[in-house]
Amino acid sequence: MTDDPQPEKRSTRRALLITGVGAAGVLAGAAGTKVVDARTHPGAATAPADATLPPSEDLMREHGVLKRVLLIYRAMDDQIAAGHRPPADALADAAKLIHDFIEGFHEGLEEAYVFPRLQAAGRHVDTVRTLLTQHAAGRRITQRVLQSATTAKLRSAAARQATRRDLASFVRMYEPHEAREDTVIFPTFRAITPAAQFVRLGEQFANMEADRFGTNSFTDMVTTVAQIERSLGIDNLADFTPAG
Amino acid sequence: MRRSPAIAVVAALLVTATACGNGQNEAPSGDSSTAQHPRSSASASPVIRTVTVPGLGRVLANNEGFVLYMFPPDKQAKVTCTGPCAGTWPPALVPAGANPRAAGGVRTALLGTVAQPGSDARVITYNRWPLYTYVADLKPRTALGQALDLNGGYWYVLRSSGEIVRTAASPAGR
Repeated sequence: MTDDPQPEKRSTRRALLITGVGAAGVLAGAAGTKVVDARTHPGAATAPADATLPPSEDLMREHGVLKRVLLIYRAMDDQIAAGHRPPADALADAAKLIHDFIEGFHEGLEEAYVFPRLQAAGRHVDTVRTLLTQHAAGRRITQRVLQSATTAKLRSAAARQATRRDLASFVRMYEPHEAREDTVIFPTFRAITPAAQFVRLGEQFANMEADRFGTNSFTDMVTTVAQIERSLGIDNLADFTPAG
Repeated sequence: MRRSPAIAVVAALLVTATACGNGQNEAPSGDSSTAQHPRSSASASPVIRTVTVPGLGRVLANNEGFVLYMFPPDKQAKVTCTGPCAGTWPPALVPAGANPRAAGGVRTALLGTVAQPGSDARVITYNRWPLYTYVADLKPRTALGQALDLNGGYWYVLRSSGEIVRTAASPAGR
């Protein structure tokens, strides 16, 4: 299996992304919105607050939420390994966010709008099959984690160990999974999707997310994750800086 | 990179017909910016048959042997899984005016179709349940989606009698 990031197109795409909205910015510009080149107008490089994200950036931003939940899962894994009981509410909240938002929505976007394009273009076909298999595996794990996320069940040492295995498996699988999507799948998706369609997809992704989860869905999601992090004492970013 | 014949066929069938601009249960709009999953491409005369899945027995499948699921929120009335949900659970489609055919113990009397929101195609039903495949079932005769809680409910396979199978598949069927 080979990954083909098409380096010859990188410089152009980077220049577009610097404007804040990439292809969306260019096409929105054609429709009337002013497009600026950050290289010649560095002071005007900020996208409007209501700019629609390109679909790949939207998906990568959602991966950021996933990464933070993986950190939460790892902290709970550590708690169980140290002989402690993870807080059932925090575990349930984290798993529910994965279930509803990542597995029920984000992965659905990939399966509906990203993977079929790559398959049709014959690009990364084997990688896509592996990603689909991992989506299925993750959903099974999440279903078990949700079932185990009660105070009563977590009293059992055996149940805690089973949950620990599930959390560790989930983290181990999703770290390379999302990294591969960010570095290989989404760039290819962007490269093979006509610019006008790419812009419309960004709008559709935003509309679907707003309809399903509300207009402040992403902010709400980040707030939820931050609250879980706080409950586990892993909310201070500076704590992750190595001493010395 | 190896490209399987199945993927090649699937790729050839890819259509860019549906779009969902407003949420999971919103009707597709016909915008060409959205790729419909190839598994859901409407076959001119689809055949519904049965296959044996380890742990589940004989259950409904499409002509390629991919297991078909029902979704309780559809309430034997309409297709509620659209947009991103339909990426995960591609509906079993038939072109408008065509009818699915039964094979291998499947009862013709239980076959039907229901409107696919925002599309001219129709979704095949069995005992009035709209039928879907699961995108992660990469091989025929597997049921990774069986008894999975996702997109607002559990997903189940059906027997040719119309009975809903609620047990989980054995590891060999997953």
